Amino acid sequence: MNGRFVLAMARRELRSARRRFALYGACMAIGIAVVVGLHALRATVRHAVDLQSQEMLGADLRLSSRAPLEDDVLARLAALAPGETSTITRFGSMALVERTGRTRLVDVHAIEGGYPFYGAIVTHPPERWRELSTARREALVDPSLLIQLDARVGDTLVLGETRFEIAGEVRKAPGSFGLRTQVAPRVFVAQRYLAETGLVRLGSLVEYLRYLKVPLARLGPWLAANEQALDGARVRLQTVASYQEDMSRSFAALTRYLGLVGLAALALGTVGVASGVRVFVREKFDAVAVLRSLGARPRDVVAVYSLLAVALGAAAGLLGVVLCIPLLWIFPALMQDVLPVEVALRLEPATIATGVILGLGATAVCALGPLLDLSAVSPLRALRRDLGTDASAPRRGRTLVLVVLGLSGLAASIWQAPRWDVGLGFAAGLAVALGVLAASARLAAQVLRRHAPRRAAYWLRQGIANLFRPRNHTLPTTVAIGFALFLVASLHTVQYSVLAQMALDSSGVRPNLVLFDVQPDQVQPLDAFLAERGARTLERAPLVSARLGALRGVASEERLRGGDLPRELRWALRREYQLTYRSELRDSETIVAGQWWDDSDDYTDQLMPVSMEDDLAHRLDLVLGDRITWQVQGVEVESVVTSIRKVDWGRLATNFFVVMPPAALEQAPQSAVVLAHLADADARAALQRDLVGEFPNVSALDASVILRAVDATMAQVSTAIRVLALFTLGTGLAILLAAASAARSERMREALLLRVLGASLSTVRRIQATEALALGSLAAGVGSVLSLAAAWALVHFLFELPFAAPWLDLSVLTLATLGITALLGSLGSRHARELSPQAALRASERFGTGAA
Amino acid sequence: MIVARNLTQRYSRPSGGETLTVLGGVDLEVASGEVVVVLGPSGSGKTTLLGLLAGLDRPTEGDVRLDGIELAGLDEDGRAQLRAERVGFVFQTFQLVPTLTALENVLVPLELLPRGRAPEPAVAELRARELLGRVGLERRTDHYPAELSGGEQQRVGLARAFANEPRILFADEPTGNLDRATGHEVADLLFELNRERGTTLVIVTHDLELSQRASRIVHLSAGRIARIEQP
Repeated sequence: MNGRFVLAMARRELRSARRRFALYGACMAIGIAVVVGLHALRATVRHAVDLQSQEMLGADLRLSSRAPLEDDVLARLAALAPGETSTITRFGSMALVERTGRTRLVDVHAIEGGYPFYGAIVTHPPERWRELSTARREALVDPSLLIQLDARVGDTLVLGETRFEIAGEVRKAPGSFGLRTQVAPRVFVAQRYLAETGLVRLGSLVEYLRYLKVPLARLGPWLAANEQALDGARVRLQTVASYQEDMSRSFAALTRYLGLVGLAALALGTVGVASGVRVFVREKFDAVAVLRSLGARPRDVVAVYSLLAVALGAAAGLLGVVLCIPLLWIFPALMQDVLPVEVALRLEPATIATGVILGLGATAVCALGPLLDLSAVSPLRALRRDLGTDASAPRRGRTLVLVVLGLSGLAASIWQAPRWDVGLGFAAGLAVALGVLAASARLAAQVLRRHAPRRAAYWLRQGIANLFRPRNHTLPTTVAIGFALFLVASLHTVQYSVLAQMALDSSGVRPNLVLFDVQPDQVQPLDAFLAERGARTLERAPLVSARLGALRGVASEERLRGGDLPRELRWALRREYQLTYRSELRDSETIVAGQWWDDSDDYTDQLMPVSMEDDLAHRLDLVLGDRITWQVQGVEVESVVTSIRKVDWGRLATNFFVVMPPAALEQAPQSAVVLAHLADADARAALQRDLVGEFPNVSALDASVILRAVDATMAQVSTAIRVLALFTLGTGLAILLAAASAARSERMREALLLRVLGASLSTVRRIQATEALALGSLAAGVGSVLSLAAAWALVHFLFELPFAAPWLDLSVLTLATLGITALLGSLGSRHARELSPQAALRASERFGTGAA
Repeated sequence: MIVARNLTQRYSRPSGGETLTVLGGVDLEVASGEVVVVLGPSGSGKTTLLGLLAGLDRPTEGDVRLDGIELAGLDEDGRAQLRAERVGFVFQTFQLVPTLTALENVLVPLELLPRGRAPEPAVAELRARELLGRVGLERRTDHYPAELSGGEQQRVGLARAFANEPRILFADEPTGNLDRATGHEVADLLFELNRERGTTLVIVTHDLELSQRASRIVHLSAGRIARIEQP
């Protein structure tokens, strides 16, 4: 290869096309910025988790279980000889502030010992944490509780049968981040007052936590020796390492989903740049033919433009890294409630390398086909322009390019996606969306060609004809702008539908009050209590805690000991189930296999029938007729699977994985959950206040609180998605500018010629405005229709909710897209309009000879 | 210098069916330093013949020896190298690279020379400037083609054609896109440069005036040599 020639030519080409290349670079850089920005955020969070995980866990080892630890477990712990131990008993309860009379479901943490052993709990007033265990009936609370209950430090907080003084607020505690505390703010009290509150009874939902400080050298071997036994005893272990992994994994999954939106922007940019590069390369055919006739070899020519592609890719990658810096500032602020740690953002070499690799990859995808075309340009074209006008690479080469393009898109999707199947689905979805947009653009061009208005004014005919004439940019513009609008509008529509459904759920006669931990002897009095206050009891379901003792005669412990089981199966075998019993099937349930029971049977000397939820049945590999042994608080209940149900979990109803007939569980220790409806918000607040006095152990959750919490969380995530979608829209606009720039010389020549031939300025302006408007309408129309279709499919099939479209928002979005597209499109050749016919003639000659 | 035997070129129509014979069994020899003009009406096969003689295309039948080298024995790269080292071109439509300045256009053939034969960059630039000065464009070296008149563009084309000191120069209607006076000037320059450097020159044209300055005129008609005359 002639290196000197290649370098010199590449430098000169870059000089002449730098504006166009800058636009191409910008198209790709925006998508790269999103992908590497999230990559950097993920790396930063992982780094912060690694640094802070010991403080976030507050100990070296944490044990959690749904029941007080058994003697065997305590003996094993004693053998570990921890330096320090601390316990927390955690449960949900209602809290009442006496002065304001306001109540709220809270997350009670009853603490004993020196937790946390690492890090510090920051309180206001300061140093109140250390005094909590010694002080008389004091409570520390999350700041949100004070706001929600209109309380202040010094107020009395009623928990069950005990009154605590609010001694301060907890500003910072290990492992706390906003989302959890929105539904149930935390209240910290000393464990010695727990019995006094009367809140923990048989059947109450309680989590028992034990924190240990242990030298790492002792912890490792102890874990290896005891992990399985503790697993069998349903004790969940968490070490600093596993905590790190859990935190990083859950955050990584979220950012990877967001990263897919970035990848969509990058795909869009790549598609746009690819079409721009094709035009650029087509314009180079003559120059390449001349170079070839002067003695340049095909590989020299390919090397010149490959070098340009590499420069473009690297520059786009670096620009993407620079553009991601503002994202690194915006994202933590947008997602503060879902970030597990405080992060100090930094740009790592790996991030920069990722950006450059993405840039190079995307450019390779854009340039591969056009480079093949360039290598096939015949030198004879320098003599005869009619020969080799459309240099086309051999068919085999084209097929290879298509395969490479498809595979690289697929590889990028799978690399970015949280799971390979998600990546595959995403790539397929993207291909379908792009395919539909491209097909729509082609179809529209064909329809216009056949049915173009023949009697309309000249400017109108000419403007519309520009959409289907040779070298039109209908396809790239429709795909780029349509795709950007499609992304933004479909995301917005899905969010709107989900929120609309939730708002509907919280209105009408649907349940808006959930009461749980209702003891059997409280069921009748509670009904009366609710009725007195105008609340309507809609559903009541008994809850019986049970564990899976054996499946088809094989004990769960045995299976758990048996070796490598999938994580989900381990969880299903080990978890505590909340069983219920009833005679009838609910509206939210459908039998998919077997039959519901006949309530007249008393099942004496028979196996108890059990109905399993279909996903759980699948996970446990259960079919009709399989035997299950349940351990119901020390008593074994033998059952046989007689039906499998599909459950609509989206409904605010008492849904269960496992249901048995009343005869099976009526006598078991149990509590109940009650769903009620009370329309008036003030009356609901008053009911909850009175509830604390009359039924201190019963907790109530106002559905509007859940709605607000979910709304706030969705708003955070959807804002993040919208920011990304805006980047996509930015890519679309950059592509539009690039497309306009690519077609500029063509349009310029036409406009100049028209001016010379006598067209008035206003005619030229009208032609260009018509073209831009028609193009904008097509892109915005196809994009919005496609977004509605995609949103409907997502809402209907994935969320299984009724579809609701935000028509006004969509109209504004579509019109704005149309307007911007039309404006940018008509800017392309404004110079031609500004020239006098004399100057136009000169310029026309110049363009005629040097348009390449 | 050039020996062509039974040169035949056929093209099949894109729609299929019959093939089109553009050139049929042409035999031609051009001696070193000779100036040969190929004359003929449009469609007579002049440009095809030029393309085949210069190695820009492969004949359907027949062969060409250029400066003692059999073109049929060379692959695409080999023919490109031969052109870079021994051949120069002047085109009817000038064919300057629009993104390069006049100087850079003239530099291209020097940069394409293989290592060992390519002059140092400073030497190459000096030679390109000299050539541009020779064609009267010393003040237009940094101008782009779009900033030059047709006559000026063809002068740059001439400077570029002689830059690599070719042994054979092919000119395709070199004055075809120029007015009479400018065409005269360009033709004068072409012949002067040719004389100075002793280059073999093959010109394709239908300009009779230009043909009178050749040492031999080859008349082409319907893809065959009708006659050869000396002016």
